[in-house]
Amino acid sequence: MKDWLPAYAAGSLPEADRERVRAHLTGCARCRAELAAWEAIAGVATPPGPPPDPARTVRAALTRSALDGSAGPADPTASRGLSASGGPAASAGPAASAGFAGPAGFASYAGFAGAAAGDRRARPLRHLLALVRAEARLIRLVVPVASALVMALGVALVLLPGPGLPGGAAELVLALAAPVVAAAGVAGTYRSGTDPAAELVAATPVSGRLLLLVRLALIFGFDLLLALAASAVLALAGTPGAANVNALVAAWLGPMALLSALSLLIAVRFGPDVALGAAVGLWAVRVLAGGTLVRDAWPARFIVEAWSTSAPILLVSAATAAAAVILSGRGEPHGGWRATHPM
Amino acid sequence: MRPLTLWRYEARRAGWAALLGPPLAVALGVVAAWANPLPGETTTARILLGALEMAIPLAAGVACGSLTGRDPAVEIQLTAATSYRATLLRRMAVTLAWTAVIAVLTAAVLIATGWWARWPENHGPVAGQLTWLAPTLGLSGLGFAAGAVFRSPAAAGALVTTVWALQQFFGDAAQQNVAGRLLYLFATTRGAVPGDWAANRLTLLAVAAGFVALALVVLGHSERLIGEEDE
Repeated sequence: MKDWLPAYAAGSLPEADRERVRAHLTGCARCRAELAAWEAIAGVATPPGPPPDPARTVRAALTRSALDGSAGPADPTASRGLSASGGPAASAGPAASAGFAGPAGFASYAGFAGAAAGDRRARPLRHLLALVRAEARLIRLVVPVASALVMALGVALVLLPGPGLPGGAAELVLALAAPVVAAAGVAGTYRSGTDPAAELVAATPVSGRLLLLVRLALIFGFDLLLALAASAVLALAGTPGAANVNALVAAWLGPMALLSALSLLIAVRFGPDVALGAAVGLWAVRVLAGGTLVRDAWPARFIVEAWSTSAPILLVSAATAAAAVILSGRGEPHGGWRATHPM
Repeated sequence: MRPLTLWRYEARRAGWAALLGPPLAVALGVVAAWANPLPGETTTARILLGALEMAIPLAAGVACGSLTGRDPAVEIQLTAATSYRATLLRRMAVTLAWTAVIAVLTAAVLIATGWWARWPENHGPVAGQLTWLAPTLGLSGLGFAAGAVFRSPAAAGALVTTVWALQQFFGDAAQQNVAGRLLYLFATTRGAVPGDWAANRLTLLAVAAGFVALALVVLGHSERLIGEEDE
């Protein structure tokens, strides 16, 4: 009899058997208690009414979003600004941004949406700033400190009294130090083996390209400011041949951009170690071509010209960096530190 | 673990930069010598010896700078009975041994083909090996110490390359005082005050020993190797 109680509670027992069970229950308190338990379970499992209309649910969510400017219940992380992995939830949850424009019913709430539009436009910016802050915390302090020390070494070499340096020493020092400092820093931006957040980054729904761009902006931006500051210091100090800040900047800007872009491209394809080695090798060729081995030959002149500041060089640098960012979304670096086991 | 297995493991951990850097440096010198448009065998011989004195030390310095700060198993290493600085010292030895093999083979070829003797300041086939050995150890020591202090291959590599590049362009200024002459990396192929060459080479070796000692002291504080990520 006990085996029939679940079906009895669910109402699926044939009529003849239901009568037998009903008759038994009148004289058996234990089975009545068990039936009560089965009926409680059946009550939870059975929906109280017909399923909700999806169209109405979506419309209600959109209406609520338009009225209060919130992202709605579809993406609970959006209201927190950042997902658990540190990335902006707006990128992770499509309900948080672009999905509002489609439904026709949305037009009737245009007035309310207009009031909330400013907030929605500001939200991606807030998320981006939060992402920048989160990524900045992941950069080990020693990296910017070391970059600053190397640049300070170059500036001190020019400023400190000592052996007479050749004319144009200020430009030369900045042109030698700034590119390799920036390129070495950029080489470590993409999936470095010691990145403390490497596994989180690999698992986050935030675009890897966006993360790379943010890291790149932080590292390259810092080195750019560092070189600008060094140029300003040398110019303000009245260093011979360094009165023109524009000329000082022109000495390092193009080489810095090109070497960093190449370093990034190699890092994306082959990993940070190869990128660092390649950047050092390329820069060594530039240094040797410009001052030591075959100074007057056409290959040396070509190499020196290629490492200068000009519109074509800056365009090539930008294109190379863009190619690196595009490639960064495709798989993992060959032979590098993989987030997952090799297949 | 058998000794050979251990050394093979350390060679793998030293990385591709340590393996490929020295041969590529020599190849760069050979290409530069081949493309040299200036007349005279002396110039070509200078470029070939320059590959030993300039390119190989840079490759070794950057490779040694990358030994600290890129070990994915550093926490396991720190729990082992062998001290981590001994492990890093083994990796540096592997890196320098491979660099020495490439440099000695290159020097042997240059001596056998007569290009070594065509450079007037060659200092003979035996003592002349200090042409590459002293700057290699000097820059490697600098790279190793910078890697230990910064725990960043990028920072150490940038420092080594900057020092190398500054010495390339300011060689004449370095000759104007004693310290500059003694610490100059390229005294064989870029010129030195007569009589200073041996002192210069020995000073570079001593400086290298000082840098390695500094690195070992810094690496003795093993908590620094894993501390910052926890902050």
